[in-house]
Amino acid sequence: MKSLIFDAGPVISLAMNNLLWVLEPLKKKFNGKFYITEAVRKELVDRPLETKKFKFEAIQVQRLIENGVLDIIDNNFIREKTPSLLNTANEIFKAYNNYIKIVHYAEMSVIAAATTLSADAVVIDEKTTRFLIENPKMIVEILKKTLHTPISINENNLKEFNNTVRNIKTIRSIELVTIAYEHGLLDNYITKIPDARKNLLESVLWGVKLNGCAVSKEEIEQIIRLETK
Amino acid sequence: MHDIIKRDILAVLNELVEILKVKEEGDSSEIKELSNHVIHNASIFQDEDSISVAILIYALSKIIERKQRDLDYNKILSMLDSCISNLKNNQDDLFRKSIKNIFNFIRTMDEKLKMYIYEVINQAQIKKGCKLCEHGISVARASEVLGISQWELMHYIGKTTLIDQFSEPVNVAKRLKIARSLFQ
Repeated sequence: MKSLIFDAGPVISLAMNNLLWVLEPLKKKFNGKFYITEAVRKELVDRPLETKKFKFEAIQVQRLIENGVLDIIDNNFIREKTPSLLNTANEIFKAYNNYIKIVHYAEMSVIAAATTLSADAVVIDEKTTRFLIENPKMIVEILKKTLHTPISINENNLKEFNNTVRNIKTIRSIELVTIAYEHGLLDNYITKIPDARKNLLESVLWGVKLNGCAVSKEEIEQIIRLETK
Repeated sequence: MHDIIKRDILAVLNELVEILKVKEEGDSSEIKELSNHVIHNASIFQDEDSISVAILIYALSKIIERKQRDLDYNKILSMLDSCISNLKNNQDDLFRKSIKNIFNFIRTMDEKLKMYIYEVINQAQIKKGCKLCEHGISVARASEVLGISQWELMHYIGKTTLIDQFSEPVNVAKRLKIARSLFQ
């Protein structure tokens, strides 16, 4: 069975743009399961339900869970693997002889879930976890540049983490909305304004960026060029 | 408390005292800038002290920006003196208590301002959370450290130029190709 594991970020980006509904038709096209972990569910639903801000968005996510669009994945492997991944990831980079805790339990639960299911990909919007999977050396550069202090690396932990994540593919909500656009899922929004399709694509891409998807202005311009040529 | 943290907090609080000695127009922007001085330690150590001092100083700058006339500098100065002496005497618990006292003072300084102060403190947490992300900490971890929700932090980060500062490890065309292969 195909599977895609979602971190909290992409669901938040989609919810803030009233685009959560695209997950259902996308799931049909995907022909597999869309999963969130229990820790991610807590971030998406339980926490905002405790406050007034983003309560309605949390209810919409809960509805997707109740309707089976998003399944919860929770098993012994994830519960055991997540803390060990978290320890490894948070003991890679050191400053002032102190390990810098760069990631959170929920993010590592996504990786644990992807490992246990041999998932087709993970959907992660925020850059740190994605960089850690794809090119951890870039995190060293960020830490050095922004903290203005030497950063040392625990090579053993880095290697161990790399071994766990080496087969994991990552996409972001920006790619999901582009795919939705390509499959005509957003066609209801095509208006009579000039360059309607291009404007629609631009609007949804900027929408997810402005709500936290880590995508640069240049990348958005490149997507628009690729999709409208 | 780690020596580096203590040294930096003391330096920042002493600078704050110097700024507050005379009420001036530029106080708010000077204090806002000062709030970033402890945030490097907040990123590295993720300790309660650096974080609360950064939030407090940023919140103070915002209150001064809007209500400088109503703010009793002398009262704040005497509370800061107590923070500094507790820290110098290695009385970490008393130091934390004195920081809390300043928060309580600004929270209750004006009933009419209550909602505004709440927003200012919340905004300070989000701003500093964003700084942590800029320093390479993940959104979820920064939210946890600052005690805010990821929803709030993502909503804010998207409006900044933070992400435009970094190049992506995977080319967007390649990532799009991966996504297309999943939905064929």
